[in-house]
Amino acid sequence: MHFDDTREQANFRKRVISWLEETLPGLRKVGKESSEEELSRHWQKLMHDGGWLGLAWPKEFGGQGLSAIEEAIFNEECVRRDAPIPINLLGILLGGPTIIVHGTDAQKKRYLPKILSADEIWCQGFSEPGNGSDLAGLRTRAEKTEGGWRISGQKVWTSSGHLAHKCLLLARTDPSASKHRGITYFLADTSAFDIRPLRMINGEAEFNEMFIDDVFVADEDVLGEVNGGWQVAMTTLTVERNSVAFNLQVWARQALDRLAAEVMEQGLADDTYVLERLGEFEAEVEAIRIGTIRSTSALSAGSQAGVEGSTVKLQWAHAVQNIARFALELGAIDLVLAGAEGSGYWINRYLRARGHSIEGGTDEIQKSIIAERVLGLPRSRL
Amino acid sequence: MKAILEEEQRLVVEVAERMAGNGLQNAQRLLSGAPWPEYPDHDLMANWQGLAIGEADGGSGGRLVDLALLIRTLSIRLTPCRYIDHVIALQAAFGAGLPIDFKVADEGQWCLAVAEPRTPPFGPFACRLSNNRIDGTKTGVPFGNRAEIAIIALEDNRIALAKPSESILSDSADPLAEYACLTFNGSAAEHVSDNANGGLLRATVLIAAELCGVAQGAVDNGSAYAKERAQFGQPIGSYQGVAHQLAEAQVATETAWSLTLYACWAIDSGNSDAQKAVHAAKAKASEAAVFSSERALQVHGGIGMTWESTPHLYLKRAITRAAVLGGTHWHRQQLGSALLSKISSVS
Ligand SMILES: Cc1cc2nc3c(=O)[nH]c(=O)nc-3n(C[C@H](O)[C@H](O)[C@H](O)COP(=O)(O)OP(=O)(O)OC[C@H]3O[C@@H](n4cnc5c(N)ncnc54)[C@H](O)[C@@H]3O)c2cc1C
Repeated sequence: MHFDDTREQANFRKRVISWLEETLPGLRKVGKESSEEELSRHWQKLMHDGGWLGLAWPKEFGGQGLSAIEEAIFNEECVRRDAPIPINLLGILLGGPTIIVHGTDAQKKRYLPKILSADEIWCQGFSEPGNGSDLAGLRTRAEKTEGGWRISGQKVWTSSGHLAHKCLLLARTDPSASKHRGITYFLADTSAFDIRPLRMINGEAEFNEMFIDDVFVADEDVLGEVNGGWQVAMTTLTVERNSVAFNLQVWARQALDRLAAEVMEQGLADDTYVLERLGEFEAEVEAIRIGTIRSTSALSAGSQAGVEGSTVKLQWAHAVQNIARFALELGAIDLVLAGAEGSGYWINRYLRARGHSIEGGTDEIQKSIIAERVLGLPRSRL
Repeated sequence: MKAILEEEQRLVVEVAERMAGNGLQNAQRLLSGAPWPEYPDHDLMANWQGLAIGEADGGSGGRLVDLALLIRTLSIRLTPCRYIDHVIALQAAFGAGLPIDFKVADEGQWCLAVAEPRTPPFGPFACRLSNNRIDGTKTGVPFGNRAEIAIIALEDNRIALAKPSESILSDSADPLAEYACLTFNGSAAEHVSDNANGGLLRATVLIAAELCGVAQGAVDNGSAYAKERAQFGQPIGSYQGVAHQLAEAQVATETAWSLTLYACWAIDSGNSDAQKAVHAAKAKASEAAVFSSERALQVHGGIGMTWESTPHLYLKRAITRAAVLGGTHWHRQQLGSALLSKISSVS
């Protein structure tokens, strides 16, 4: 086992670094005047034009035909340089990989290039008001009609729904079958959805509720088999758990580096308690980086993505939460009063991070997955 | 030894429960732009500001525990009121031995101005007193923007009553509270005491009582949801992954409350370990409130991340009040030092 690059990988890394160093400073200048959303949009365009997106996707559908390792290298260098998140994160992370596994050639051709170019932005319509952890109990209904399906129901907590053109949509197509057997996975257009933003506890509007009233989706936009949607959804969820930490470890790294800088600034570098906590966080953030390298290596050596994603997702959620909580504790009242002297960063980070142990499957559900699938403990849920 | 509530104390809780009744609804209304509710502030200011101050000193008598009970009960429902910070300022003045003119206190909000950037919670402070004039700046002063009178902690363990020269409203992570930055430019010190510590102890234990209420309210809120919300065909509270989090939060809350009750008693009876007891209470109460409200939010799942939900209100109150008058970390350190000095004085 080694963690250093092969010669080709080292060359690839060099190319990545030189491109990033050329591109990021200009982006930061743009970033000063634009919103985070515009910045993400612009960043994805630059990545796309430079051929850095879809590194591990097949060439014929706009990808680069490389492996997960190159993707990991690119990502690692981005994290080091505090690069933004591309606007079509969910399309790149979830939509593309799911379509690559389950899609027909026509679907791949139709959808994959536009995910990379961000001409079509995607969201994930899984959770419903009545069903989150118990996703398979979902109630959105799809009725067969000439040439397709008519879908009605309600989705909630849909991240990026307000930006999206397309939705990875789960709906029940056979209410008489057992709950995992009657679900179909649709690639739906969101233009006929009624999408309403929801305000989050940090004041931002990242997620939405979506009301779907008798919306038509054509037969060719069924992904996988009719009534076989649960298997397809499992692909999305597995990819999600594996990739969230992989792609968002930047949030943990950024937070920790910022905390370390503030500790120096405040003259706390000799405080043994502070040092100990910094050490704890550094180890945790490193474990996320290394864990994702290990699972990426395993993936590109041909093994199936499995439950290791649950572990890394738990590690990631906790690291970000603990770092932000500690920063507030150190900074006392001045930091807690958001906005005061630009320190709103920490309270915002702290509040947003509470969602990390909920989104993409809660902590409790990840722990159950580890207990059942790694440890072989008996299952308690139905 | 008879560590149970007395008849009058049960009465205080009952009255407070009545006043707290619509607390959460008022809080939600306030959030959607309604003006500050007059009730229960009006009643509290009229009838309860002299609590735990002896009649000889112009108060209405009663023990510090009574006031802690009142504040805790109001906080369980996050009842919007400015009374808590007002009465904490009065208590700080009383604990420091400053005379209180209740006629003045009747007329408007008082505030307690302690924190300074990068200064330990109990000082030494930079705010100066010379020729009876006060100069300096205080941050994170609860309702300092509305206060006529400030009780201000100064250098050399002094504390004074003065009118701030200027106040600037800060942003506040807690949408149900207001914090301000106060400046004193040669403000006249109306009374001065050199026992700031005595005032800070009383104030701190009352913040601890508030945090105990916040912690309990959060646990109750999380538990109510865990009974109601079902997934996989069962209430989520039947899953130990959920139930144990709430039970742990309840244990933390009870730990903090025991320590807070004792600290109130120790201060009131002039017990020599009062200082130590206050550090223990505030350390644990801050911890319990933050932990419990994080757990309450977690068991709500996605809905807990929405502005319209309740758990974040507890969380925001917890995280701000935990930082007022010293956070967990600092109080633990003080408590650790106190333990060591006790041992070394014995040996
Ligand atoms: C910021 C954010 C973004 C999101 N983005 C999306 C998105 O883009 N698309 C999408 O489809 N969804 C999204 N979600 C929804 C997310 O996947 C769900 O919130 C999550 O799966 C939990 O479901 P729920 O909210 O219904 O909570 P519930 O399932 O009701 O859970 C409530 C609590 O009970 C616990 N619980 C439930 N069952 C068990 C059990 N058997 N054992 C132990 N504990 C249990 C949970 O862990 C949780 O603590 C997002 C959520 C957040 C917070």
